[in-house]
Amino acid sequence: MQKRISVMSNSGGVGKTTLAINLAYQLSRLGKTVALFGCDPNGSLTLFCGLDDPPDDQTLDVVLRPDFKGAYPLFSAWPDRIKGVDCCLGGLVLSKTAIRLVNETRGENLLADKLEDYPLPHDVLIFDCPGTIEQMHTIALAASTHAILTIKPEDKDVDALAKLIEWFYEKRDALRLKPTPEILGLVPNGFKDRAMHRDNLGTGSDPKRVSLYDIMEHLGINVFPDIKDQAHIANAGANGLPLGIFRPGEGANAIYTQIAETISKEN
Amino acid sequence: MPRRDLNQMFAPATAAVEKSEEIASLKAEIEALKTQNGQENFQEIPVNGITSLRLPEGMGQPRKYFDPVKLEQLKTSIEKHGVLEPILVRPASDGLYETVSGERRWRCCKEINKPTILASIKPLNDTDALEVALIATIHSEEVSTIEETDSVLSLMKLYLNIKGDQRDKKIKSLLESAKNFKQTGYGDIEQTTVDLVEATLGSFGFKLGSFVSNRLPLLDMAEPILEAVRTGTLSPTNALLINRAPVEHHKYLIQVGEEATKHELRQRISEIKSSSKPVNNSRIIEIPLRERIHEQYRIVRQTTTWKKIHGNPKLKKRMEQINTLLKEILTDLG
Repeated sequence: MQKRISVMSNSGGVGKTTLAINLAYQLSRLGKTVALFGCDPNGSLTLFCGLDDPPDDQTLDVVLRPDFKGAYPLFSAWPDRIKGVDCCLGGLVLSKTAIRLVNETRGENLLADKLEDYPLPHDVLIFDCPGTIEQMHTIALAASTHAILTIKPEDKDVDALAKLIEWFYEKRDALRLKPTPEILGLVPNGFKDRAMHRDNLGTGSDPKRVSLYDIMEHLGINVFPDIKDQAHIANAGANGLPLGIFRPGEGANAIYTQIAETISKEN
Repeated sequence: MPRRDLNQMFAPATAAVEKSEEIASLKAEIEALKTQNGQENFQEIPVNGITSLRLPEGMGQPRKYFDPVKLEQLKTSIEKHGVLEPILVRPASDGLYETVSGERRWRCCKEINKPTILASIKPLNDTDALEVALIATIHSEEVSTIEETDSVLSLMKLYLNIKGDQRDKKIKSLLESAKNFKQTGYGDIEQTTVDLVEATLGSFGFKLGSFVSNRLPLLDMAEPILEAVRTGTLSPTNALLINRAPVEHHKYLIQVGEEATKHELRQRISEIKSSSKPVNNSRIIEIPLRERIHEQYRIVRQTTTWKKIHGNPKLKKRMEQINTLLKEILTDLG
């Protein structure tokens, strides 16, 4: 079965797009074909894949129109390096799309409906969601089989994550989705060795302090190994490349691979 | 402003997850009811197709000890009148049924070669099965205070999601914190946790304070003894007797206690105590010095023991001597 993964967070700049493109790259190395969907009006996926800003009629917006008949506007990512990663890009036009969908019949289910009517051949679809909960999150969730959450271990991000999880379960049940999307795991990102981050990840000085791991264990949500903050990851993105191409020797690649393996195994 | 506690941050998220799971389980239950097509839920199932409840390692187990005398009585009753109340089983993946409630009745039927037994079949996941089994144990009239206490604690571990090697320690210290919190209003514990603890205890007629002071100490037995009770080889009565005997004889006495009646065991213990040499040397396994010291010290530190020592000038002086001796040893080590 095709896996459809929403990469979500409830705060900006925590590494969603970075995670999305690196997972796409590692999945393709595992022999999977991947379609990346840029659901963010900021169009960061375009930049991170080294592509040019598309015209509005070649973005996700056209897929979410009632007259869409299956001609997905797909662009290949890193075609000189790998095969099998295609992108359906977002952009500023999506801010209008979201407003339009409010009045559309089954607006929240529109992406899910289109993917059902005009299925893509890819093994994995990855939806790169915007930074805070909005309409595009609901549309992506309705189309997803799984979600991966990512945060920086800052208190404000942790607090926002709590709200995202609450939203996820309530929305999931309200939309009566089948199959019910599950949270595949949480990826702590941009870990810096300082007190607040250590506390939140459970390596702080107070052993009694409740950590994210404790909470996630209680909620039954898997936590992947944390990815340390480092310039190479940001530089790779700015150069429009996944870390695996930009710096194949970096340790974080092993974590991306691990998550990619989890995705390809998960049923 | 202090930093916000993560538990507090995640309280609504936790509620949302729990609600979602609750809805899912209610749906499953309705689905299960539908498939039964309104048929009577009780069935005669083959006694040989049943086994004890099997749960994953580390989840805790419902009680295992069954008094042989009581089992005999029950057997006689079943031979005469049959099983009066259906047992509760769950279907397992290997085609067997596992007892959730009514293990004693099932065992008796097996021993008197009854071919079938009346059972209610209910699909239960591990957590629910353990919960039902524990509640059934606590409500049983046959249950000893140790087993009852143990089962209540297991139930609380389940509700509070306390897992891992240290789970026994964790739940005990949590209950103590809850009691202190209740008395003083201070402590490193959430009000919601205290409420949950009190509600759980209350549903079995316990008060938090008296449960902590009167019931918890029952489980302060040496680990091998408690283990033997939990696996069902040793009766709770014999366990209490052994726990009062000198620690170096525990291992031997556990072996004796598995077969012996309370009376026989008591006799054996007094024989051991009166003779300077152990009765049966060959069966005593030497416990390492480190363990022996640790065990004695563990007892000494217990509040009740320590109060006695503290109130007795002679004993207190001897404890001072031990302290000095230990200090000297450590100084010699450099």
